[in-house]
Amino acid sequence: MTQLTPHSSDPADELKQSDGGDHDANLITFLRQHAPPVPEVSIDAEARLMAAIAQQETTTKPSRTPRSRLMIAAGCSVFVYALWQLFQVMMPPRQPVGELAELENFWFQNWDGVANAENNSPFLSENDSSTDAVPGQAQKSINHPPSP
Amino acid sequence: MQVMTANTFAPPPSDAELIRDCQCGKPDAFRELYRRHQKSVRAMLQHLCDPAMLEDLVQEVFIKAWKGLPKMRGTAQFSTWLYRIAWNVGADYRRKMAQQRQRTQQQEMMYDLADNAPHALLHLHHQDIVSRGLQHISPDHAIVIILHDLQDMPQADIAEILKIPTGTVKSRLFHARQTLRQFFHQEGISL
Repeated sequence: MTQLTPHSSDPADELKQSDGGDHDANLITFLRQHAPPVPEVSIDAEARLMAAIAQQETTTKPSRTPRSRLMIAAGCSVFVYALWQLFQVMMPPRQPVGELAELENFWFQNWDGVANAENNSPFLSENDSSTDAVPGQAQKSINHPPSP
Repeated sequence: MQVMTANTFAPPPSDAELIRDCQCGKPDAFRELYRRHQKSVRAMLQHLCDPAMLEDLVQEVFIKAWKGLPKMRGTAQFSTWLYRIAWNVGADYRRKMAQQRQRTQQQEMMYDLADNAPHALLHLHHQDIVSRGLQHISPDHAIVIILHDLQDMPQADIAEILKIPTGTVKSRLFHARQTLRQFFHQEGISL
């Protein structure tokens, strides 16, 4: 069995020595010394890559530049703003809360008058001259059916 | 007297500047990125794939990088991002190969070289052992050994590339070294 105790002056190895001890440093040095060399790049590799990229360019749409992205973002903002404006126009205006409360109060106060219109209506009173012409007709139209 | 123009000493563009040019659709900038990083990618992939496939896989990595550049975040470091792509391509390749490969009995080759063997032959023998050792351990362990022990990459960067915690990198490194040491021991090398 071969006992290998390589020594290296590489500062990185010293760091590893402190990290994992001599045990690891020996292993790392052995790996570095005997790692298979990186194969040489073939002469036409770069040309083939650039040709492949050029082919990609023709088949796919061109990538967006920052300027076009900005324009798209601005267009989207304008579109959203226009939509919001349209929404505002289409929606009926809202009454203020105070006004609504006042209206509700008015309805409550006058509800009896609306429900019992037969008694209160100035148009259907007995003294009303418009009902005098055909007595009983107006009276009939507003009479409720007899309660059982 | 030599007249020095500003262009003579203009520093080479950084990776970030080249990436910006690429994002504006300039393939020449990508050519420069390829020249800068192809060797590291090649060095990483050669341990993960068949040598005959190396050229194709390197090309696949760079084509994927080109396609992914428009989506690349400005904060990411290009080399880390490229290593991540290379790792994915290498891992995919190994997965595919593992599925296709028929289970064959692994032939144990016991080298019994005498101590007085020529140095060159011994070196080749050790290279073969290292190569087989890296094939012997799992890809997850191999990549950590390749990046940390062979390419001297910090553990934090490896963690970022593999998207795992730094503690996991340490743990994988420990187990990978242990497995490698056992493998080398079986091959007659005690480290």
